[in-house]
Amino acid sequence: MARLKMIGIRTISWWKILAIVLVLYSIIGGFLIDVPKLPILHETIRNTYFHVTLWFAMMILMAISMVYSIKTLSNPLSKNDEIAAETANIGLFFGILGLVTGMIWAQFTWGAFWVNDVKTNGTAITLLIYFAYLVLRGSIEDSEKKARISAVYNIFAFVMLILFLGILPRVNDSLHPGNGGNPAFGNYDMDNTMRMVFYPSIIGYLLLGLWLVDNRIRLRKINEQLEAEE
Amino acid sequence: MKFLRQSLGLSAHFLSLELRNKNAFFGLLIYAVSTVFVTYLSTQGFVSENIYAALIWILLLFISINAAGKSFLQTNDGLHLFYFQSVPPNVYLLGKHLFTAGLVLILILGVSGLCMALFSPHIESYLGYFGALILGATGFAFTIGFLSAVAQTAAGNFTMVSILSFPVLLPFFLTQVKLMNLSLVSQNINLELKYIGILFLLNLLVLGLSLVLFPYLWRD
Repeated sequence: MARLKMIGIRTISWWKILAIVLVLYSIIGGFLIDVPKLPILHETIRNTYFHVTLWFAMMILMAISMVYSIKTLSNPLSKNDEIAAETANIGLFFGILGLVTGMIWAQFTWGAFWVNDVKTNGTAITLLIYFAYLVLRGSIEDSEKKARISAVYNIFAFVMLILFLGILPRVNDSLHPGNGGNPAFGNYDMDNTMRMVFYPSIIGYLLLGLWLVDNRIRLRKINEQLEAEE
Repeated sequence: MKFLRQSLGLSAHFLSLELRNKNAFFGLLIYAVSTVFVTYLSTQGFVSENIYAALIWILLLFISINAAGKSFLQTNDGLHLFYFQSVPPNVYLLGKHLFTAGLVLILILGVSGLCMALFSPHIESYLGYFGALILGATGFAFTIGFLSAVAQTAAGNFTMVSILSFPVLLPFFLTQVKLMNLSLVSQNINLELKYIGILFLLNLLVLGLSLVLFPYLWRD
């Protein structure tokens, strides 16, 4: 270890290695391991490993972002605010990837890239809310004020978002599994081999997201130092 | 009780400020009437039930954003400092909320009256129709009012209010459209009461959240 450091290679934390292994496993396993043969879905069921897991990871990242926003309010240290902002950033990135994979899936199962579905529209709203969050952040110069105000908006918006995503699909019918009488994957379609890829894949993408957040925070620190030196 | 009395007093104060400067209110009224009339002219007054429900709520959304979005933006720095020293933040917010809700409610009822006169929709159930209007007005007022406080502390311009509030208003918006649509086509009291319940809970939630979060905006 010490020799590695001497020649300039930093040791990598175990969870980063785990992220690489799990994501690779989900890609290789996701394409090669047998899946249940179902009507309409056919091989597109493999998209579960990407579309659904990216969404799980995104929601967890957004929840982390909100928790750090609450921490920012009670103690406006810049570090809490940085974590809240960057998790929202990476969550947004995952959200866009989840939307694109979902649109491709929709084209092959429901027949159109965009169907008027509660959850699909919910995605669009999620993205709009977090774009608005980024616009709000961009409009404030003072960093303490930026931390405080964007934290207030983040908490408010996240609660409304959870309501929107959680309640309204139960009020309106959705084409997604588990809503409006459609069977959920967890109950009927996903067999044990699928679960063996699905759950590790969620953890893998979440860890990958946290790694990206970590890198973005480091990048911020470097930029701050460079600005200070100038 | 003292809390409520103070807030009521404060909203009466905002009302007297508004009455002193009637231009702003009449400006809003003309804006509202002309948007409704433009919609009427462009559709010739012939719209189906579900289009009517969607159309009226789009109109009401823009009108409410114009009305409630200004609620915090009008206050200049000196006046802000004065309120800061005289009342606790939650009293101030509740006072603003009550005043804005009253203003938006008057506008929304007026606009929907005009729409009913122009488009003459066939209303099956008045409970659902006016339930959607009244609870929608208060919900819009609370949400937009709070977000205009956020926008005021951030950039202080009006564009920010609409950027911040459009996505957040959607749970309200969709429930209201659904409820109004329902009240136009059938008399299903149970389902209507369910939607009214959802709207009421959404109102309570927004009110509670804004009361909890407002003290943090208030500080500077």
